[in-house]
Amino acid sequence: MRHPNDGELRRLLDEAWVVPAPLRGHVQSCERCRMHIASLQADAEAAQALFGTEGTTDAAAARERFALNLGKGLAPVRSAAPPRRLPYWRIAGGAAAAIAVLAIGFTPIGSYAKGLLLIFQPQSFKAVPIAPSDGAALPNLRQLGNLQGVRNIRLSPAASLAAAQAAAGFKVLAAGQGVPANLGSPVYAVMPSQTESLQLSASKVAAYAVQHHLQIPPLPADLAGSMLSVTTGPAVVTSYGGSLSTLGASGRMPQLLIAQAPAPKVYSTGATVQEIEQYLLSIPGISPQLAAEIRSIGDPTRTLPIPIPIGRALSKTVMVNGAQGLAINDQTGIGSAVVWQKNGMVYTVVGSLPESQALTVAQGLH
Amino acid sequence: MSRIDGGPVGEGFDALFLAEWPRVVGIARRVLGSGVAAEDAAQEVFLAFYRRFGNALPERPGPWLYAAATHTALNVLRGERRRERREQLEGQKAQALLDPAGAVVAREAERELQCALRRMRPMNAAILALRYAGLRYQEIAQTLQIPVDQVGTRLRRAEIALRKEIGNASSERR
Repeated sequence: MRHPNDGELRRLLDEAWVVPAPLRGHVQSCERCRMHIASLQADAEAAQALFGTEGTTDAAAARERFALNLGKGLAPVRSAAPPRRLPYWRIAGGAAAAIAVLAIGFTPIGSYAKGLLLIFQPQSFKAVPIAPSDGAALPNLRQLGNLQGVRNIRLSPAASLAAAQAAAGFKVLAAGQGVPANLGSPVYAVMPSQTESLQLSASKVAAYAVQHHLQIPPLPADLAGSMLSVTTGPAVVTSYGGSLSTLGASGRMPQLLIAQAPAPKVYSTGATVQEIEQYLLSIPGISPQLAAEIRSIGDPTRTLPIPIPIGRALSKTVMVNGAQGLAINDQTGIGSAVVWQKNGMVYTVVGSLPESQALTVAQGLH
Repeated sequence: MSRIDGGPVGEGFDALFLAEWPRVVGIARRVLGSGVAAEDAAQEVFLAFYRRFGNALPERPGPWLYAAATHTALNVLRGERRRERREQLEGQKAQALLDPAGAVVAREAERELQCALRRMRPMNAAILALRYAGLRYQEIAQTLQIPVDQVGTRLRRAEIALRKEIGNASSERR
């Protein structure tokens, strides 16, 4: 078997499933190719860091502005909007993604309207390998429906652990062993309860199909009428070596983050999580490997998939004080995370520290 | 409903605008950064599209829009639209007053990338903007009108060129 050329190796990093299996197999067994693809990967990651990730934009407002531009004839109307800050995700990277997993949904059930059906209450986590191109292929839910409610994670500083506990309304665990002494004192922040709702829209699905030139099956009637609602309940984030609440200003991630929140719950007015999963996986562009991984989860109402970028992170199952969790490291030694659930609470430790030390911090929470 | 040249903007164009706007802006942002210039460039792209096609949408409008987004943004970057650049810089000054530390980080990173893109060959800059805006290889091939099996090779070349440009800029600062 010949060595793949640079173009094939480069595509292997982005769209592995289109590279012939014999070439993929060769790369896995050939040390020279593995070393070479690592250098390609380093350049790709450096470029990704420079170009950043997608920011937000308001297409409807842009459409109104476009109408004004058309009316005026030639030059486009200059935007009066203030310049955007560097997107949070662009700075925060993978650690923020782990926090976002927590922010998917935390609970208070009490305020929920009658008729809502609890469809998602994960008891465990499963690592799902995801190619970078899968990230691009997976539709953003905003592209498939109408999203309402708060969209950003808002964190308010708390003066102490006791203050954070009072604001959140649950017992907040304190860190003990494993926290590097040079990181100084912890800083606490509380994310208040928020609600986000999504109503899948047949017209938006159609527009998505036009945009991506895809043959997407029409949205089933019961899905089109369904409203998915997520309440993001109070979460407490303890940070060392920087404050998450001032992240946008400083541009630096704290060295260590500990997030605690009640386990996520998602409600629907009709559709089951299986129906939603089945439909999303029917959208072309998602690699067969990813679809198979997600389907293999079994009962999706009990397991939260955690995306693990292929070639960029590794994961393994760990035990944290008697609870099963997931340890993730980014293969570079720069960062690692431990996620676990116990007594209805989800905990995450994320930091610029080795996996073993992250696990020590996790086990030291009390 | 908007009108141009006496004709109404059709629902097909509206749906296309709403669907493609984020991606067109995304491509422009890879070249022009997170300021307002990227949205201005995207507006120009859709105006040009509408003037050319009206409501008679081509079979595959995406590649046309993505190519136009790349060219328009690179043209702005290369100083053919100096006024827009001045306005963007004014905006950055305002941002610096509100958020000094964040503005420094953002400006420095964007400036470094934009200097590199300005010096690179247009094909290299274009393929980087398209790929890192999330386009798949097939879409990049259609946009740049090259065979899909050349995308990986050209992307690799562009990433090497970017590394060298960034490296050169760093050594010049030292």
